[in-house]
Amino acid sequence: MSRNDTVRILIADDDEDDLMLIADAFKESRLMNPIDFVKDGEELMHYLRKEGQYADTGDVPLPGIILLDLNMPKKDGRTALKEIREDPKLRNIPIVVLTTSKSEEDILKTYDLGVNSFITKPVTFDRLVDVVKVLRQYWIEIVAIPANA
Amino acid sequence: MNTRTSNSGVTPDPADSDGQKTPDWEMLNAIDAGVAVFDPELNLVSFNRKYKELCGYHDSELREGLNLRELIRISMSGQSLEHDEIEQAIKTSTTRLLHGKQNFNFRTRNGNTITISRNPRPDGSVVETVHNLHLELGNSDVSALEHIARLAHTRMMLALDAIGDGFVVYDANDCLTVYNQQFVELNPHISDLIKPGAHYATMLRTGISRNGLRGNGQSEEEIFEQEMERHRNPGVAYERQLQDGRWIRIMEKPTEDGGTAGIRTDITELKNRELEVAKISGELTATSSHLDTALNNMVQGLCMFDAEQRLILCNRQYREMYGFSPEKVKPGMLLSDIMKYSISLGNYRDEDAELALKARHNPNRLAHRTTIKQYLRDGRVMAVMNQPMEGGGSIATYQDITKLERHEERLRAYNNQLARSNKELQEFAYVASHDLQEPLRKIEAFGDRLVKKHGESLPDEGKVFVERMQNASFRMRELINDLLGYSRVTTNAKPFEKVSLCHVIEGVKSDLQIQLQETGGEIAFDELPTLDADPIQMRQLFQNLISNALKFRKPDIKPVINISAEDHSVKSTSKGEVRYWRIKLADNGIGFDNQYKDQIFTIFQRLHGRLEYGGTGIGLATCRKIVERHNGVIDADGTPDVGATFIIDLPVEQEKSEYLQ
Repeated sequence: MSRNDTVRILIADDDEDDLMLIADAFKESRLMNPIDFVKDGEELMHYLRKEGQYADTGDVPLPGIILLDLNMPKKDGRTALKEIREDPKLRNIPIVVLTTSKSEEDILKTYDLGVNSFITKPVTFDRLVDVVKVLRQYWIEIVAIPANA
Repeated sequence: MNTRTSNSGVTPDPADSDGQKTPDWEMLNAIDAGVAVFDPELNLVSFNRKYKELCGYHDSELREGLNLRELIRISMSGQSLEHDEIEQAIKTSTTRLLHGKQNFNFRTRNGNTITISRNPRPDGSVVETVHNLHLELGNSDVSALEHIARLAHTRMMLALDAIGDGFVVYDANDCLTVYNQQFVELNPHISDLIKPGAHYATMLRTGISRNGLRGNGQSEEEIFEQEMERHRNPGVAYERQLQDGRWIRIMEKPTEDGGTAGIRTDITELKNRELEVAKISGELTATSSHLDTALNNMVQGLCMFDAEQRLILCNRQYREMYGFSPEKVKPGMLLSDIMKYSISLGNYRDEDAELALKARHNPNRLAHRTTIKQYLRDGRVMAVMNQPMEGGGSIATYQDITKLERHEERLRAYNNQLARSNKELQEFAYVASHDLQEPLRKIEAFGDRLVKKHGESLPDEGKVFVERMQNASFRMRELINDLLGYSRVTTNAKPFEKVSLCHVIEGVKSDLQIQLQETGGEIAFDELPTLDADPIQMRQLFQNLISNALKFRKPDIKPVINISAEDHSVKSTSKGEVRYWRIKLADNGIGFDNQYKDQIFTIFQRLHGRLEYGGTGIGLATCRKIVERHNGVIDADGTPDVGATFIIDLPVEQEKSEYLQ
């Protein structure tokens, strides 16, 4: 699991509680990949473009996957998503959108957001752990394949 | 035969084969001159007594039909003249007649010298007058002679008869001398009295006493005096109505000889027409006054302008609406002057005055049917509708629409308010879905973490508290989701399409498979219709109703739900007959008392305690909302301990516009 573990995970969410729960769930599922957190869309773009407070992170590789909450302060997730999809350097990064409810997911699907998947933030911690496991199976391991090749 | 004549006089009756008679021979006999009339063949037609005397003829010698040549021969006989001389004289006389009037003196057989005058008439007949040479005839005599001679002429009398009017001549003694048939005709009540020499006064008096004249309640004497007065002062025409209803106009003129000549014209038709005209004009006046009344009792103000935009007429309301004085605003006033006057009265706010003047007087506007609104200084709003008339000019109506305008304003305000509150409701739905669920999810998640990670170290009471907390959180999630579903019936509606209710029920059956298995429930239905509906909402509707039926089952009896449909057409006043499907969903559950049946469709209303039967009290409210969105009606009929039946009427077809929603 060595190469897969190097895939960096970026979580963009302004909700401290969710960050804490997600981090716990990652720990619970024994996912050892490095995880970075950004609190809004602006910080997300700075992180990806290595600007502002991330100007000195030149040697840090781009994340292998982004978990994106659409409702964030300053630049919201939708705008950030659009910028990422228009940037040739960033457009190939898989993006999984985190939603609060199933119905919200229905609404979001009607927009052409160009996202790879939706994940409803689970109510119970056990479910959250399951989600993280699925996430790892479907995305992180698949993302790692090109790196191996 | 039309003309009357007296039978008196020595003159042989001059009636010839034509039977012509003249009334004048009697008078001709009375004058001091001889008169004879010859026809174009110069045969004697008639003559008076004096003629015979003055010419010295014997009774046996003179007779009608005798030729003038023969007469000359007779009168010259015995005067020792040669035959040739006589014949020459005859020839000269008759030839000269061809050239015109002859006047000559002649010595008769008995020694008198007479003046003979032969006057050829245009028709070829000849009138001969003779008088004594010594006798100086007065002008009036001569004129009377000629007058009489003329009248004596048969053809003249015929001509008189031929005219349509009655003609009459009275002499200086007011006695009838000449009249024609029409005169008699127009005096039917005294026709027996009409003959030459009859006295005017006698005829009049008799006529009045026989009711021949219609008086205006006057006495006979008064009528007589009035008529005599008129007759004595001729010259002015007057009208008189006969007993038989006919109207005649009488025109009399004094003649030179002191008599009176009169014309009577039958003016019945004219008079009737005149009366008709008077009647019509009376009716017109009445109509016009009706119109005035109608105009003045209109709610609207009304004006009519001619092509030059001058006022033709206006009603009272118009003047009252704008406070115009009737002395000032009257027909003939220019519209622009009326507007200026209206501005001077302060009807408009200063900033609107110029605008009003322009708008009202815009020639482009006047050529078409237009409506403008005037906002008056006192707050009133007037709708001025201008309509061009055929042939130029225009009609303007003025309506006070202040109330209407206020209502519209209020309606607009309500509409805005409604739109705002609808928007707020939608925003609430979003807030409920996202922002409310967010903290709730945390409560649940951290509660879950607490139980999972530290559950063992919690005292029993603490475990109960956490459990109750989690139950409350779960209920809240249920409520939020149901509320969201309720609000989405309108905010998340899909267009109508053909929906088979059989498919819908099958779908619901598979969704509720677990509950059906747990309860041993059965859903029975045979033929269900296809109708215009929102498929997702239909599924939601039947899912709610069926799960409701399963929930309120009787504890020991397997729930059975029967779904049936029947055609149920309803007469609607606005759309004629509308076809509905009546769908019945009957269960064998605990039922309910019908007195609560309105409550069950009300949001958050519950008939049972939460511990007894779960639920949020939103399900049936959502059902009603769905049915109403489909222009249908839902009702329920329950019997406690027997079951409940839900009755849903849904239109077979929806308006096309609903498809395009």
